[in-house]
Amino acid sequence: MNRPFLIAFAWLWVGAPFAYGAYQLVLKVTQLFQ
Amino acid sequence: MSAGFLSRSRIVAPNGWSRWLVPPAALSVHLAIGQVYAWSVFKAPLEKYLNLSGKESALPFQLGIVMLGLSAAVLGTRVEKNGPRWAMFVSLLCFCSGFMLAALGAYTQQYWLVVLGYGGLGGIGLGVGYISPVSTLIKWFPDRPGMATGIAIMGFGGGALIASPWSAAMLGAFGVAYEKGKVLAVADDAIATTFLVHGLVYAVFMTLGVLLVRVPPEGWRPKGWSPADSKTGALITTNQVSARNAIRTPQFWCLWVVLCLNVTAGIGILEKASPMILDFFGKTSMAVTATAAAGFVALLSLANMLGRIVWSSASDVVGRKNIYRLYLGAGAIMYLVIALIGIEEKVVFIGCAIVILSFYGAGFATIPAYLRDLFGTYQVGAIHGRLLTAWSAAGVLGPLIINQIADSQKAAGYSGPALYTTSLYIMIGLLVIGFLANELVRPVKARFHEARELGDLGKPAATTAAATTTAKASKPGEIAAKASTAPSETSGATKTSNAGETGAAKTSNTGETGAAKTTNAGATGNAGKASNPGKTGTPGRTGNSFKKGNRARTGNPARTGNTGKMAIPGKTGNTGKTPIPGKTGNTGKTPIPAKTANPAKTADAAETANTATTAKTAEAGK
Repeated sequence: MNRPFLIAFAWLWVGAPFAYGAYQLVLKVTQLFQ
Repeated sequence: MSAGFLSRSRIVAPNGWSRWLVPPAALSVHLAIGQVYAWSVFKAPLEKYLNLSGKESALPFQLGIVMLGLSAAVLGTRVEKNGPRWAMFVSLLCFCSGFMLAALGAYTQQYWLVVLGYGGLGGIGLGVGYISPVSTLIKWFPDRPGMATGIAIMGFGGGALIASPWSAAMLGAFGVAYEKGKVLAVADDAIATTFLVHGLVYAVFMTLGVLLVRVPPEGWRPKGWSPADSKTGALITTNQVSARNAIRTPQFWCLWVVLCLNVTAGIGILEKASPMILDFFGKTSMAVTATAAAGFVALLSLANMLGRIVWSSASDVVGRKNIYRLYLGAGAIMYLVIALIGIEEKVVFIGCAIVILSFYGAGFATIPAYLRDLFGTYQVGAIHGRLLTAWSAAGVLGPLIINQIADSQKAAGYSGPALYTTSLYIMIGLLVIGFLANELVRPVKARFHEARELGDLGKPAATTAAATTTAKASKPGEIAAKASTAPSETSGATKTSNAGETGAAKTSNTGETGAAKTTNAGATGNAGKASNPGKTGTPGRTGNSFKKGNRARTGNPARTGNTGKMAIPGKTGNTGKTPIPGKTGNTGKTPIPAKTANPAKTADAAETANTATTAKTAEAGK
């Protein structure tokens, strides 16, 4: 299997949900300053 | 269970395998099991649907954390032995079946099934899944162990980050109605379906880790790096200590205290973050609303998560002991600042809380690298598992202190910041004790080191230490104890030889360095105590002559008349430099065929019984 593709896929696999969680968190954090 | 697809031998990385594929494998497990911190999302719907109290609805989480600590401590050695793929698969199986069982419990309205499934079965998945990726990453990143452990353990913090909004959205989609954050109604099967989907999705998500995880091949090093390049210090050992021996060292218990108190201090603020900021500033000119308080809690979660990777990576540069000085020392100062100034200044309070929480997360993330420095990589996962009992203890201690004191202060008529000031000073005291415990950490004494040198990757590489230690040791019993621990817990070594019966004859693979010279080692003062020729060329479980006390069988000069450089008239008739006409057909300088083991095992033995080192062993013995 193409290694760079595998690396990108693997990081995307864990990175995408993590980014979603981080985004939701940032939305909440902004409430502190409203 | 560990055979075939899941076995360690199947996941040895081929040439050219990028180590940057391992962090996503580890993260796919940690991001999943980190969901446990988002349990609170299920609490209110469960309370409404099954008519539970707050205490009852917390049970699955509490049992899960207890099981995490217990299973990591109890199964840590097995996890190390069977390898990360086995561990990740078991974790997947337990964690996801736990959700399924919880789904069944919610569907049938049998709450005990929810507790047993999510907390009991799922908790085992947490413990097994927590330690294995960490120790695997340490082995892949010997040049940056702090960063490696930071990545994995940040993933555990990130798990709640993902699960919290995702689970809430799913509950809403399946029929839980909310109004202003409160649960109004729960449709039949809403919780059960949510649990079921969680189990299925996490199973798919974790599968990547099971498929992708690899262990580095024997002798692998990062490109352009050698152990000599790494930061050296008195606390960074090149020796290896087994899990069994580690818990006998004061260093382990010092770190246990450090972790427990650092976590207690963090939980102290994490547990009460929302009511705390409201009590501090709710009735002041800097009024804080409930919504802002929720934002504050989220901010602390972010600090907790980022602290894991940032501070843990920094520990690679400044050293582990120094970074814990910062966590504990500066943490105590931050608490003091809150107690003295923070009650009046919102910004100061928030800033200090952020720093404390970043230290809290970092304390978790850096501890495996600290363990690796002190005890080596050999069984660092198992040692880490045993240390996690400190987490379980802190999980009880932290909330207990802060809740108990806040309640008693309330009963005494106090309000606002006064509810927490005593707790804050107690936290300072705990952190100071933790600081002192960290100061007491010294290099592990040689008597706890494995009686063999082990490769960086945790596999036995040579046997020098056996004779060296033997020569140094004064008590035969001590030698026997040390030698007995290591091999029994190494998968490779366990199978490498079978000297149990034949001692030196079968295990000393090379006639020249084996039987002949090892008897020298014995002759240097250990004969008749713990010395056995087998010790120098016998890295295996049964082959470890210390452990088995083979002196009575083969190495004991009294019985066999085995002396000095003479041949050993044991069962196999192994003789120094000459071919051995015994049962095994062991011939002088060649590896032992036939009875030694199956080909795979023999290969292991060849790796481990380094003959050159064996020669050194004999010298050391001399």
